[in-house]
Order: sequence, then C-alpha cells, then structure tokens
Amino acid sequence: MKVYFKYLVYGIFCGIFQMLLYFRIGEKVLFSDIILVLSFYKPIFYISSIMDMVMNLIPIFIFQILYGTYIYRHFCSASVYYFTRCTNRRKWFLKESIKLFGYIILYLIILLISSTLFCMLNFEVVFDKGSIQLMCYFLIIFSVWFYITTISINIISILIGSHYSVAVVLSIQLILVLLLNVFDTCIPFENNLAINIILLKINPISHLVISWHSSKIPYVNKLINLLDINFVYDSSIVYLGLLGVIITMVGCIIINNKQIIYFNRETGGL
Amino acid sequence: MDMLISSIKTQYKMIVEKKNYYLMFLTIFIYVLINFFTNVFKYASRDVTEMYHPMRLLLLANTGYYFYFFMLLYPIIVIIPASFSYIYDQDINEQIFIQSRTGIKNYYFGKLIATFLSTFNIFTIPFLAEIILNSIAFPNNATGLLSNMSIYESTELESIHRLLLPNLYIRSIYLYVILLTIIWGIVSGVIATYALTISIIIKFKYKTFLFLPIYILSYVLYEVQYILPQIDKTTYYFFYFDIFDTSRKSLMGYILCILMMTASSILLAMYKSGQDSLL
Repeated sequence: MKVYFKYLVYGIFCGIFQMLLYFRIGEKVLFSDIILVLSFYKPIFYISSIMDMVMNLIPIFIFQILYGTYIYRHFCSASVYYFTRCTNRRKWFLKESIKLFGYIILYLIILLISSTLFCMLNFEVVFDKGSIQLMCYFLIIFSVWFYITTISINIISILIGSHYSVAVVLSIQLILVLLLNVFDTCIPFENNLAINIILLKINPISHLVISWHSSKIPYVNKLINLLDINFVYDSSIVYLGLLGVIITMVGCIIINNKQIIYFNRETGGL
Repeated sequence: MDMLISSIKTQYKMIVEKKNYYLMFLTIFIYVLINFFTNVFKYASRDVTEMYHPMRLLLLANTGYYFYFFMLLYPIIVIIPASFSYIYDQDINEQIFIQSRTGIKNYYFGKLIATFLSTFNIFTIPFLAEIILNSIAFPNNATGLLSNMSIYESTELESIHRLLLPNLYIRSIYLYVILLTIIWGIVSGVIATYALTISIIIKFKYKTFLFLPIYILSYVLYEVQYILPQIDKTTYYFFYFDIFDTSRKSLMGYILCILMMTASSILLAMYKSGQDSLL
C-alpha cells in the first residue's frame, strides 16, 4: 500500500516535465493553458498532430503501468491465504476499486498542483475566467479514463499475465488515437457530416481532449470549442462513466469466478 | 571463449523456442506481407511510367497507416520477444543450471548477445524479405515518388541531403535501403538488450514494469527537442526509423544514443557478473 503512495511522487515529476515546454513559449501563462497542455493541448486530425498526441499519452501509460498491479498483486503471492479470509470478493473488489480511484484523483491533483507551482515559480500564472470549470472537467474526465484503463489492466492481468495485459490495453488506446486520423483522410471533418460527429463521440480518446469540447457557458466556450461542434462535457462524463461501470461489473464477475491457485502467478514460486 | 559460445547457443535456443518469440516473428512477417500484398493489388496494371520506385513501397518507407501503426506499437513489440528472458529464467531458476556450466560472466554476456541476435533477426529478416519481394513484384525501372513530384524537382533534390546517409542514397537506393534495414535491426536489438539489462540490475516485482524504461526513454528524448531550443534536429524515434524521412535529423546524435545504450548494457552486465562472482 505504501508503495502505491510513493508512486504518486511520479505525478510531481510528470507535472514539471510537461511544463518545461513553456520555457520556449512565453512569460505569462494562463491557468486554462496549463489545463489544455495536460490534456493534449489543441490537436488537429493531421497524422503529425496525432503522433504528437501519442507521445503525450506516454505519461498516462506510465501511470497505468505503475497502478496496473494494484488489484492484480493480491492474485500473485499468497492469494489463497488472503482470499480465505475474504468471503465476499465482489465487495472486496468494489472497495479496492474505490481506493484505486482515490489514488487516481490524488495523482491528478498532485499533477495539477506541481505543474501550476512550477509555472508560478518561473512565470506569472493568470487564473483566467473559466479555467476553474476546465480544471473540474479535466479532473473528472481524466480520473474516469485512468480508472477504466487501470482497472482493465488489473483484470486482464489476472487472466493472461501482467505484461500481456499492459500490451493489450496500451495497444487499444494507440489504435483509438490512430483512428482519429480518418477525419483527415477518409471522412474529412470539414465536410460537417453527421457521421463525423457520431464517430468522434464514440471514440473514448476524443473525450480526453478538453479543447474539442464545447460549453454552454460563453467564457468557457471561448477557451475551447476548437472544432466548433456541440460536444458538451456532460456527455463525456456520462459515456466514460458508463464504460467505467461496465468494466467494474465485468471485473466483479471475473474476480468472483477466478479459481485461487497456490503458486505466485508472477514468479511461479510460492 | 568456447563457454561463451555455448552459453550464447543455449540461451539463443531458449529464447527462440518460446511461444512469444515465434508468435511475434510470425505476426511481424504476416504484417509485412499484408503491406506487400496491399501494394501489389493497389498498383496492379499501373503503367511503369506512373509507377513508384519499388523501394518507396516498403513498410519502413512510410507508405501510410501500416507504418504509423507499427511505429506506435514499436516500444511494446521490441520488448516482448526476448527482453523477458532473464525474468523467465528467474521464474524457473534456470540461470543456476547455465551459470554452473558456463560461469556467471558467460551467462550474462551470452544472454545479452542472444537477446540482441534474436531481436535483430525478428526486425531484419521480414523486412529484408520484403525488399526482395518488392524487387521481384514491382518494376525496377519505375522512379516515381509517393508525393507524385518529379525526382528532379529542386525541393526533392535538396531534401535528399536530409536523409541519414545521403551519399549512399545517391549511389544506390537498394544498398541504402538494405543498410538502413540492417541498422533498424541493430537498433531494435540494442533497445531489447538495454531493457534486458535493466531487468538484470533492477529486480522488478512485476513483469509489466519492464515496459517503463523504454517508454520513459522515448518520452524524454521526444521532449528534449522542445525543452532545449539549441537542438534544432528532431529527437523523435519515429523519424529515424522512417527510411525516406526528410526532416532534420542528427546522424551523430543517433549513433551516440545507440552507442551509449550499448555501452551501458555492457557495463551494467559486467558490474552484475562481478557482484555475483566469488572470485
């Protein structure tokens, strides 16, 4: 447990590293810009921008790898001793999921604080109107996405092993990002077809891009709405929340049906 | 020396016989063939004057989605075949049997060389096969570029000097492509060996943590070009693996990076073998 608390320090390094980019941009930094930089900034559908998005996913991948063993570790060593004292595994899994979600929220808060403090020490940070709402949306949407992917890695690790589960979940995220390029090649977004917006909203990765959303509040909408479409945050929260609930239910079923083995799944010994 | 060779042979055989190795080899080979057959059916019955140069249709020549998809998964694919070999040895305590026969130093260096060779094979053989297939299937006197510009356009002629080995490209495109494919195999081998060395030095509790060093390295290298304004060349690995990419690159930086990874792998292996040794 203490180990996973120590991993939160990674959030400090991640926040500072992502803000080093500002050394080349300017002296005055808007808080809304900090939020946008932490959420892929303002990408477009060209392949070069998509590849930049992929590189900005790597800090997220590192978090997923670190916390992808949070629940899985209980199925590695001495699992038979652990679970003989735990009669209701579904309740245990839900409790662990809530704790994991807590770690994710803590990590995102540390990320935000470290990046903001770093910018405050080196530049002038202006808390513009609408940035607090953006911060709330960032925290909610990213925490749910982190939860979905990390829980998926944990659950799939129980079935096929930790390294394969990470490969599967990371690959799925990379494919989802690459699929965004269809809006530049096959069905250009400039054509304003209804299918474009439907496909954009089905892709979970597009919900992570804060700048693609729109808002009914005019001063928030001014900061975002890069694509000039109706893409409200509420729909993202509901969609990702639904995915999270489904993944949790699947996790409950898998954990409940998993036969406890007496050797260490990770190392083969006891 | 005999012990080292026998260690390399044993460990190479152990790596190659594992399921994840031959499945990955098969997957990459099939993927390369998919790219080849896509090009065959796409350009079938096209006139030779409108046809692109056969080497421009390779997977590593960035013909489209196949290349991007492959590069996105590259940090995962390069680790899976052979870099887990030390962790697998520890799972079943196989290192004790090999070390008792060949010695600790020969075990570690044999493992490094076997990992390098096995990863080199996976990332070279399918791509060299594709070069041969493309030379057979497509007309060798076609000279078109995928940008549909003339090869004698001034912008095209200027961009040649931004390739990694422009003088070799001017002499012979085929030699250039073959050499860059071999370099790609060597780099992949070095990356896999580096990840293996990290797993030897740091005892990871979970196998999944082995993906961290390569992802951290690629992210840090990618950000360096944005953080340090003095660096006006790209540091994104994607552009160095693309055979015909014409963005500003640094051959010296590329070679230095690979040499540093190789040197650190060797030094760390020497340190580890000295640590475990009684003599």
